[in-house]
Amino acid sequence: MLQYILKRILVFVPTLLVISLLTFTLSVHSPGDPVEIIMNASSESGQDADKIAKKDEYQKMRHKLNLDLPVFYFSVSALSESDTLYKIPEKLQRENLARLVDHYGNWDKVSVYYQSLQHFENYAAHLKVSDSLQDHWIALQQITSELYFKSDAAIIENRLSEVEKQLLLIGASTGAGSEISKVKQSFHTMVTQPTAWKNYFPTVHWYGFETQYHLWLSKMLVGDFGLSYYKQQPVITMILERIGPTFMFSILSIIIAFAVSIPVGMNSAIHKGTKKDTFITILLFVLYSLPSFWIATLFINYFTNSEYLDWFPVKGLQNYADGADFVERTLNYAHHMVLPLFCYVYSSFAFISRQMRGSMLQTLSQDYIRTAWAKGLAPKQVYWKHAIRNSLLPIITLVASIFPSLIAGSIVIESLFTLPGLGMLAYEAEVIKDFPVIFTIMLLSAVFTLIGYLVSDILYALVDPRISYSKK
Amino acid sequence: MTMKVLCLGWIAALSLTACGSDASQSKTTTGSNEVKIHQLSDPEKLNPLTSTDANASTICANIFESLVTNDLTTYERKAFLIKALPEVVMNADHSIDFVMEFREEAAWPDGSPITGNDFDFSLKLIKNPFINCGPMRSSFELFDKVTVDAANPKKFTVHCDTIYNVAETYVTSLQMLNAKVFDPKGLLKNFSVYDMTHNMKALENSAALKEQGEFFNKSFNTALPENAGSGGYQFDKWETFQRVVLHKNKNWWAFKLKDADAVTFHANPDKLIYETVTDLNTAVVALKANELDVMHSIPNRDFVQDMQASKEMQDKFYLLSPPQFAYEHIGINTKNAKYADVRVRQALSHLIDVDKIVQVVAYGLGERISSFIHPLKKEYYNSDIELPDYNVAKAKKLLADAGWKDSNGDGTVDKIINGEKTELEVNVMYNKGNERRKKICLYFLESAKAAGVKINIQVKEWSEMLDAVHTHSFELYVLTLTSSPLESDPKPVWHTSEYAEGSNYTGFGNKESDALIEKIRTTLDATQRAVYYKELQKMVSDQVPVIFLMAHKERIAINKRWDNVVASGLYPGYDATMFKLKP
Repeated sequence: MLQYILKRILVFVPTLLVISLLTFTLSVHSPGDPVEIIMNASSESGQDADKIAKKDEYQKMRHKLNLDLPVFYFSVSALSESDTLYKIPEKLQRENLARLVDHYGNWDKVSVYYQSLQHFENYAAHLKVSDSLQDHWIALQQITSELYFKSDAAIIENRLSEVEKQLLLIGASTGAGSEISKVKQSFHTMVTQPTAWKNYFPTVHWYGFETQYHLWLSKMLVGDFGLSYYKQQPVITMILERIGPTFMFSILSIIIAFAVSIPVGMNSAIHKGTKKDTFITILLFVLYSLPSFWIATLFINYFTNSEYLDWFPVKGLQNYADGADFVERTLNYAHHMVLPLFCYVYSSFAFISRQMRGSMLQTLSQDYIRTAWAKGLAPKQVYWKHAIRNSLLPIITLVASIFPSLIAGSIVIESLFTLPGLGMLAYEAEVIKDFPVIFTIMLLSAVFTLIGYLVSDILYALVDPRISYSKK
Repeated sequence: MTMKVLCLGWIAALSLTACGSDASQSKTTTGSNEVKIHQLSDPEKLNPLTSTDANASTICANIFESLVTNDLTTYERKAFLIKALPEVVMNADHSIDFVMEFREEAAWPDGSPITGNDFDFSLKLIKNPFINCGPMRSSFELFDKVTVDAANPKKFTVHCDTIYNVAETYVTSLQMLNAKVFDPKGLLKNFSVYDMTHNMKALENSAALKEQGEFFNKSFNTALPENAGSGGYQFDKWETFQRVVLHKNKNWWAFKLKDADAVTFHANPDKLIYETVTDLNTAVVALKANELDVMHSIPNRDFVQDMQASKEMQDKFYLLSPPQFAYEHIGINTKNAKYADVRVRQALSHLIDVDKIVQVVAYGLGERISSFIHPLKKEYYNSDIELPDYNVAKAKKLLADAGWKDSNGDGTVDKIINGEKTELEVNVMYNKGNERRKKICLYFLESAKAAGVKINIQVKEWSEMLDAVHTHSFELYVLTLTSSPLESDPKPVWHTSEYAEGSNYTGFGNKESDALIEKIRTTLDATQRAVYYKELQKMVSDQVPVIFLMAHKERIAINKRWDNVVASGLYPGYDATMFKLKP
């Protein structure tokens, strides 16, 4: 048995690595720019110095977050793709270049076009234009700047013609004509010499160990889950702050759910077909069909409101006064927990008790139960000593699925009652793309899922002596 | 039997908790001099420089003080930490000096005086490149020197290297941070503001700056020491996702002022408690149940139909709807060939019934505007600009004049553009989940039909929409932009140079408008600046790069157990420090 457990724990390591990799990949490809999240660069003045400083700050932050490094040790990509595209600092330009490569399959030609565009933009910005022609110069620069975000050939062609038109109106020198010709030429080459076939041939680029994933993993292995992008606090501190309430609600709700559902299910099975069974079944299914957000809203509106029944606090986990003693604190917590706990737990009554009922009915039809009745055993002994153990086997499978919920919490209930749980933390992190927090919560969920499966296997062996994981 | 036991157990547990912990214990009691203020989420962090969200700013504004304050109703600037508004000295090299002097009484909670050295330190903190306050740092790039008067350390001069209309607003908004708390080792003492502005390359590897920056970034996120700021309140506790509590600073220097009330110095309630309630419905119930004293950003419908219409609510709460300095608008991509002709943009502006939208979508809690300046900013607002009326006939005529006719009888007008027949199908974009903007688009869709304009509504994720707007890959969008009752800079939104990387999404502007914007930015005389502002508004109105819809109104409910309640256009719309408990 011990050997089996150790083996299973060893399997955890590669499983977790794969999960970490998948999580990391998802985060890299999700929309949104972490640097912008941190800098929240919405406020701006029109000063040139301000703009330059902001660009500089952006680059520094990008470097600090290692976002200017390759994502993984290696990349398997299409032959057409660049292995250095990650170095382009502006996200939207980087995305447009990727689109161009996707269209034309030729990074070399795309990069020549990009460079010629940069060169021309710089050239156009320094053109000396008379006062009367300023509007054309403004238009010239604006159209040029748009080209960084265009990947459709027809639109690019249209914009390039506009640029030429504005150059003519400005009466720009032949130098300018030559510069725009270079852009047109590189664009023409890119379009007319596509190597789309390269999109279908894979290539492997090796980047070494200086990668985003490696740095993240190395830190994580020593227990450093990084800083939250948004709060700039250690992620582990944020999780530890929230894990307590979530655990408390989860464990209490699991205990209540099983403590209520197992006897109810048994009772239902024992009195199968009676009015009592029908009543319990209907009641539980009605409860099961009511969404928790609705029940929570009803509770908030009717049980916390001075207009109706002002029995419970509206929100939060506690609100005891400074200096409250242990009993006062405990009662204050319990008072706050009644309504959310009911919302957590009521829907599982039907599910677990129906499983228990079905399992019990199956067990009661077994030969050994008939033998027990024939021996003249009391009903209590038959049900609680002989039948229950075998009936519990299907219930154990539910344990595995319960473990992840230990940390997942319930976003809806936490949100409605403003409970400081992990569900809301995960939700908030998702909304603002706080990847270090998302990674850590996902990894914790994965660990708990794996532990759940292990525990259910062990429980099987404990409940049913016929199941053994030892080699015989 | 089992069922009976279970039911009885459940009832017993409920009774125990309901009786054992008095339900009213967590509610606001009438006599409590503590204001419970609703916040939709926890502040990001309480660090006054690195936090960027509005909750944190509101909380920090009670702890940290700026040099000036703004009147809640007139928005006029008033000297706060300083004796008088800055004396502005224009230099021959087009730079400006701001000469200021701290009040005699201005002091930290431990009694030590606030001096020019504290301003110097606070500015150096922002300029430390290792502190994560990038956006704020870039705004203070202009200020490159602080000179403290040797004879009177309360007096100091700040040098700004260029003439800029917003410079004074920036410099006087700087919050004072106590060096004893934020740099206990004195690591910034050996650096000057000048070096940190002009010679930063040479200082970038400084170990002292790095140590100070890292200490600052990590040490003041969830708690602030008593002596951190000089404000009327001090940090008490932060219970994650529950509440942030501030208590009154008993040693606040302003209590010693004789003219305190005249200059809006207030710290009346004993505590300010910022209660987190993430769900708006729950917050409304909490408000009714006296678990909250103040709630703002109440949904329009709830505010109008459930609160303003209820006698009971009116008796119990002040229901305030001060103006919000933000304007909702429809932006038009003027570079798109379909909208390049101003007559098309004008026609579109006549095809949306804004009055109806204000009444139906905003439940009347909005004010029609004709400009990017709020009408309450009377000195700058151009009241001569007419609001476009909903007029299908006028729109049809404008479209016909611009060459748009329904040549194929499909009900949508069309025109040959660049050799191709183009139907006037207008793609209007809004962000997913914003019901108000969705309704605006639907109204637009209905009303535009009458003039042969087909509206296609595009719903985008927020980040996707921002990308589209930044790259000018849109036709029309619905957005809200914030304006300000304070001095601001029109360049980021309206100057042509902001088209490539700034916020001039619509492509508005020409050399005349650019020149006007430059004049606004370099004119320090407010009267003259007002003339330029009005001209710019006229230009924007004539060119119709945006269809201005409305400036929204805040929706605030404040429990009537408080007195001295003033509604304001300044965020968050009230000042809880002023509240006085009714006898």
